[in-house]
Amino acid sequence: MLIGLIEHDAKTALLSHIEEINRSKSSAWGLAVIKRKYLRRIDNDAFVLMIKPILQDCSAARVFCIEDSDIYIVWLGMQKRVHHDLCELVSRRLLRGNVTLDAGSIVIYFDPQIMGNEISTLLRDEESAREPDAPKRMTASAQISGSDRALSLATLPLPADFLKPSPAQLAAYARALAGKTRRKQLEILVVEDQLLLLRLMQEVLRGNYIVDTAAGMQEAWKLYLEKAPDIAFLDIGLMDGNGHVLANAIKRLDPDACVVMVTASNTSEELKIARANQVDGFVVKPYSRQQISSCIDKYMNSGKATAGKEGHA
Amino acid sequence: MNLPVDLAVLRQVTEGDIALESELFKVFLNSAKECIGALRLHCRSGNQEEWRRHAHAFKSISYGIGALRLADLCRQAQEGFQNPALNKYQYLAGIEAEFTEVELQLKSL
Repeated sequence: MLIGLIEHDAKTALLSHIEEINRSKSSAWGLAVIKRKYLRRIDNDAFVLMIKPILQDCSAARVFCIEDSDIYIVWLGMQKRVHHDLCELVSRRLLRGNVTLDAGSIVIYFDPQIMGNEISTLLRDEESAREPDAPKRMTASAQISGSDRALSLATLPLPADFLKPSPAQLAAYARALAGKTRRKQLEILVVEDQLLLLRLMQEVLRGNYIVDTAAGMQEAWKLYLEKAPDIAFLDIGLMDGNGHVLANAIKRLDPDACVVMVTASNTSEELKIARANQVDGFVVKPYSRQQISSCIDKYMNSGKATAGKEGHA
Repeated sequence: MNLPVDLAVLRQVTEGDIALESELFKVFLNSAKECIGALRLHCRSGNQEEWRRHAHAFKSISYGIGALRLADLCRQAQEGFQNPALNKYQYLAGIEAEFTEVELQLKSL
């Protein structure tokens, strides 16, 4: 086990570590953020001593203690076990007296390869929020602050009228949902209006999955209701609308749906809307095969997957 | 100086499949020319939303192919969608110059 505690300039060190992980293309890394405001006062060294046994089987682990902010732990291997043990430890020994949240809301797990960009943006946002004269980059709709996961529903783009399913569409969707368990392969919907990017995504998914494609929001919504795909990869900037609106409509229809946003715009505003829509992933272009596979792996391991277990490597 | 197209980006997906790369280059060059045509049109028409949309589309495909400098120029054009026509012509000139470099590199492969 190699464990390092980084206090000085921890934010920069963490960002460069995430970059390193992305370059390594290894999906075995895990990253957890521990929300320090819910923890009792504890010295950073003492904290590391407490978590050391949990990380003892990992071949590399680092703890980034960011001043006046959260603690980030990055480790190699056994993501689920380590996250589970961290939650246990935090809930049993480290919580402040008045905290009633469950440990999963305090120790938040990320796949650094999928969520690295989001974390980087959030860290930079945190930085600018601390500067009193920092320019306000958000629009009024996205400025609402509050708990880490909760944006007001009012900030979400509302589904356009044509995204209200008709009774016949709902019936077709119910039938498709019922048929999901009989699928031998995962069915994936790719929504992308640029032929080049659509072709790239088809290439990434070739052979292993049933892939449906749509070039616009209306076509995608029709196809979604007809097929009830296992995963939907949605481009945000579509020619006939906004992928966030489609994501929102899908999540309203089925909160368990697996929706991954794919975009060339990783602004904090986009990330906040995606987060408020509770989508399952956020992939920034240009992406690699590895990033798309990690999203699919995450879905397969989420307990939501009913199809494709045999075919999925 | 770095090449206009970082082929390593595209190869994260193509894994060196030459036939596929050649197909993707053709698709890219066609789409890029359409985007440039649309940007030129909306520079004149003053339709800000159409300018923003096409700059965004161009940015996306440029990232896809690994033309990172071109993607950055398109990003600037997208963000400057509310600027006056003169600025837009400047964005467009930069984009067209970089696209020429990209095209040269892709055609030399």
